[in-house]
Amino acid sequence: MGIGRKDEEDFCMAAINYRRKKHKDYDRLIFSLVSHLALIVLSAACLLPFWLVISGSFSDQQSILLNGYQLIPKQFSLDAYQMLFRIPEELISAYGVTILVTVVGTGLGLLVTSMASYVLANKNFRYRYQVSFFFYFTSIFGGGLVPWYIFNTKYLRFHNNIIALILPILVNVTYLLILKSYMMSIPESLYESAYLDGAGDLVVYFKIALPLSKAGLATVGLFIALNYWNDWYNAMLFLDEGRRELYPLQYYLNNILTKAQAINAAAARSGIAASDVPSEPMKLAMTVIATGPIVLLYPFLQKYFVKGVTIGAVKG
Amino acid sequence: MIGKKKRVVSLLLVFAMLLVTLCACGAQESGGQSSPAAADTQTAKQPEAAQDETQETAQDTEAAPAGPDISEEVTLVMYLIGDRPVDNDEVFAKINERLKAEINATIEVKFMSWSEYEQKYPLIFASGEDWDIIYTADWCFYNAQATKQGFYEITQEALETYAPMTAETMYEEAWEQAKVDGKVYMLPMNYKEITAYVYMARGDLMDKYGITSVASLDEAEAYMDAIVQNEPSLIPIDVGSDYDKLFLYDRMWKKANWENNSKNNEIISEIGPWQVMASASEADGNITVKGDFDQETFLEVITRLKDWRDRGFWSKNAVVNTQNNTESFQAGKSALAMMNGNTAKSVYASVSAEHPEWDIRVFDAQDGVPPVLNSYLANGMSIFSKSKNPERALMALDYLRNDEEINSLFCYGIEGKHWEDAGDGLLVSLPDSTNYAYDSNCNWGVRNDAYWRMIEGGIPNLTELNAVWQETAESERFQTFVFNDESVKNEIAAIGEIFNTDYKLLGLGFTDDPQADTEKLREKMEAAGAQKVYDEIQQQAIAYLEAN
Amino acid sequence: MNSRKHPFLQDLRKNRTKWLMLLPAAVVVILMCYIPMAGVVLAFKEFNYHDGIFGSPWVGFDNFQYFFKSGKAWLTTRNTILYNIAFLCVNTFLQITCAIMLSELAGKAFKRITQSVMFLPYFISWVVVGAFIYNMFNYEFGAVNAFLKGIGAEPIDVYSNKNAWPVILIIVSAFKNVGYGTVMYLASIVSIDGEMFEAAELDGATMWQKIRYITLPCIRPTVVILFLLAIGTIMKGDFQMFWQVTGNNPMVLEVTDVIDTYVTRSMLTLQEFGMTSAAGLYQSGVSFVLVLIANYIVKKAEPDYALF
Repeated sequence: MGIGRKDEEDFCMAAINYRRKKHKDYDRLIFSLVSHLALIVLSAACLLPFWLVISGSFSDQQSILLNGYQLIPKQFSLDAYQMLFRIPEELISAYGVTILVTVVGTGLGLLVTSMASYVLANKNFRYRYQVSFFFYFTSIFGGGLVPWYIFNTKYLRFHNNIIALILPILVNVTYLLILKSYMMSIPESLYESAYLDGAGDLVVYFKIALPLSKAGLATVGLFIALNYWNDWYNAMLFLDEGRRELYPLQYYLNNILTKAQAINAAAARSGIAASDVPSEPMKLAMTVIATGPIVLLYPFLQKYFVKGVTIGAVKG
Repeated sequence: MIGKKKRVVSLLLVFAMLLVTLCACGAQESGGQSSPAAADTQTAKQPEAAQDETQETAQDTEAAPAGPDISEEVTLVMYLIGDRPVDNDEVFAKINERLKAEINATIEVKFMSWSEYEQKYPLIFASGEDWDIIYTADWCFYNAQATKQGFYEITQEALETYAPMTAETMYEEAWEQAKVDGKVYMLPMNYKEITAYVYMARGDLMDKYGITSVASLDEAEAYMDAIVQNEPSLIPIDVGSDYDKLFLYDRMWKKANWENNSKNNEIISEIGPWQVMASASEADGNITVKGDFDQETFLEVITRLKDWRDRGFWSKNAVVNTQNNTESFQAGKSALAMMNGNTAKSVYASVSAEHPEWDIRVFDAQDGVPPVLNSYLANGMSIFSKSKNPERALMALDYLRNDEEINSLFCYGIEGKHWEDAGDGLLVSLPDSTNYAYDSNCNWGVRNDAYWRMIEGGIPNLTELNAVWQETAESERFQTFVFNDESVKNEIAAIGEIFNTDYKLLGLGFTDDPQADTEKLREKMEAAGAQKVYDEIQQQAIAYLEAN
Repeated sequence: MNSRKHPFLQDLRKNRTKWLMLLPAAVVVILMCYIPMAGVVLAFKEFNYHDGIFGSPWVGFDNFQYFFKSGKAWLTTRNTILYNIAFLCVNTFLQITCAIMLSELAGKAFKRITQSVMFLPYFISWVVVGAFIYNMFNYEFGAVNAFLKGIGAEPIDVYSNKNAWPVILIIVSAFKNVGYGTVMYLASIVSIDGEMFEAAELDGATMWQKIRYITLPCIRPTVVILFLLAIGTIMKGDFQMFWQVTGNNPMVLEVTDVIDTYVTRSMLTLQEFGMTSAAGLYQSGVSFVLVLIANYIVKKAEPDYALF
């Protein structure tokens, strides 16, 4: 790596080290300053829109239409949340479905994905390129929505089935290949010595591959969880309108919004004064309600993103 | 070690099998545990499926004279578009009571929400799901699904056998309109609807600037000019959303053609699907179909629109508007709104309640052009081609359309709970109507003039306007003409794209040089194969005129 | 005995645990992707419900025509590819930079907070992002013009300005994805063997040297694989993003139209499964060729990094 230059003369070492150390501190200071500054600016840029979302969700519909999004609500109003929380049991049930689907889907997905990536990352596996290709091919070619839908409803009978919310996004080939690349960075020597000790693939997988790719697993797990958390498309396709108990959160919130808009349209037709459903703030409140819990989860994952895994530790 | 390994291997195997069986289980589960009503259907249908064939042949030979066989009880699944009204099930319990007694069938309603029907509608035809009846319309996949054999064909005999009341009351033109390649796949609504437009203006501003009326394009121009000059915080009219992008264009275009038609002996009328921008010129018994942009009036209209845009009558960013012009008007962002006369009532009611100081006034925006009698295909009901009980479905539709009690239940809800008779074919909505709103449960496909009720009250001068419209309203010349696009689908797809971009831009006056941009539009249309489409339309139109 | 068998069967026997570990993922992929894939024949058919996917009549390449007829095939293909390349470069650069900064910083709380905050945009849907953009740049009411008018400058009309949109799109793409992508590189950085850094430290390597000679080379496999994966989707545009952020604005389509938005607009009034399928097949075909080329190059240079 171009670092281990041990050929310098002894008498120079002290002096050089001293100079380097000074230089290093200076470096670190600049780096730290620039980094802090850049990250603060970036965070502010990311935080501002979200703040506008929150502020907007507490605004009155008319004031959004008239004044746009404001940093502080001009006309404070809880209408949007009242609409969304109107039937708390349903909201809670929707949270329940989403949490169930997310937990089961992420758990299973991570297991299935990581097993496959372990094999594909393994240089002893002769067919690793072919099998990788077998997986990768599906991310480029697809049959399109209609054949997929027909197969899922006609033959797999996913209609109104909670499995329809889990299976379609259980294995994401992109994540599988990303995880494979993380696992490939584990030194081969570790595997070899374990095999020599008589360990089988499953033992190596559980004892070496998984612990050493914690950060990768946390990343891919996070992505899978986010996909489940945000998924409403499969619910839209496979759930009947009558099956409210199966609605996941995002789909449920979307439904309230369209229902509210439909009420306005109905009012227009019947000539009754429109009831002014706060659809604009509702869109924003939906973001807040759906984002909250998963953002709180994120900091717990961050402990896996600590630098300096010492691979030697596993060996011993 | 080895024992452990084996155990894990077998665990893995079990897991893989689990995945497979999970799917297989899913199959059984959904069959068994879909909503209770559906489960009933399934059990009810099991024995019947076996008898299906015998039943059919029996009907062919002997049942026709003896009346349809309804000994088997069936549940019909009906798809509607929209969201389930709170009291839907209660209303349908009452409808089903009657249907059970009359035809030994009940209806189970399923909904497809507005936000998803565009995706879901075609899919349920492909899914192999069991269902029978669906709402359809010319704007809601009627043609597309009919040509793809998604609907059950309704023959004249079937109509007379299974839907005698409908056979008797169906408007001749409606039946003709519904034909696709000579076959009917839909029961169009039995309702003559007029589309007429109104302006809604701010009385306070009119008085301030000495404007007395906003009932024509010229008067609207004067009003908007006063606003632009004196009220910098207001946009005169905030058009541009998907809903009202072409409102002003339409008014000017219709007006120009109307004037042209009465002056010359050439009659220009719209023909074919909206997005192909075709118009037919008839003179001395000859008909020529060409693009709107090839009519002389087109350039006039675009030039005027450009002038209006340049003067700031609507936003510079109108093309990306997401709010429609009534919403902006209500929010106090704009000074003039234009809308369909049918929706004006509610806007009027809510705006005058919220801002009495605006003193809003409603004017006829037709500007002398006769309002259009809507196509009957604007609403209708169809039967799924793979329905297990198409005859019974047809019978049920017959009752939904023609039985006063059932029809009123479907359209307005329960009398005494959701509405009250106000005499004169009017009704009053009761407070409970929030749970089953007037004319809002996708009941439009069974609307029937005989039982149709308007809501009492509303805009002061609406009756007056209505009287004028009723008198002058006429069908469009080619209203019943259905264009078969089979041979030019590719061209239509390409044209549709141009319609959604260049044409709409021109329609809002977004051009610096109307002449050059019209020319550009023409070139693009030519490249997309428009001429082939127009030739095809012309050929079919000639055949159509000969047949009628 | 064994030697006479096909090498594949032999391997199946020898490595049965490995094959079994692949099985669950393979089953899912077969069910969800490979079986429905047979439906691509739709692209060459005129679909009707009566005959179903396989029974409907063949129409050859008819369904592809509209796409090439409009004269927009080249424009939209070019836009799609250029945008994807721009997104890929800008986003990758930002994500790696952020990941390195985050990994090197000491303050625990600061790190956690910024990392979480950077993830927030991911949750804001494109519809809402589109509404924000509109609220910022609207000519009459927009925040930007309100500010310009406030300081006495001329208002600007962004929605008719073709040059503004590529920049806006690249910025919003970066905004939405920076937090998301940073995590991937961060995971890659933290899995680097800590001993390497310690050794470098003992040798007195500077910060820059460590980044240059340890961090960057070590995350190279991740970068390469993400690049290869991105090439696989280079023909697909993030439909929601282009549709919502630009408001489907016809005035600037020349620079914002991608294949997916184009196909959607064409199909707005027409419901042809076959035509949609045809466009999809075109996208897949081109992507596939590009990926094969890219993968071939990578395989020549560094066989371990190749996708397949």
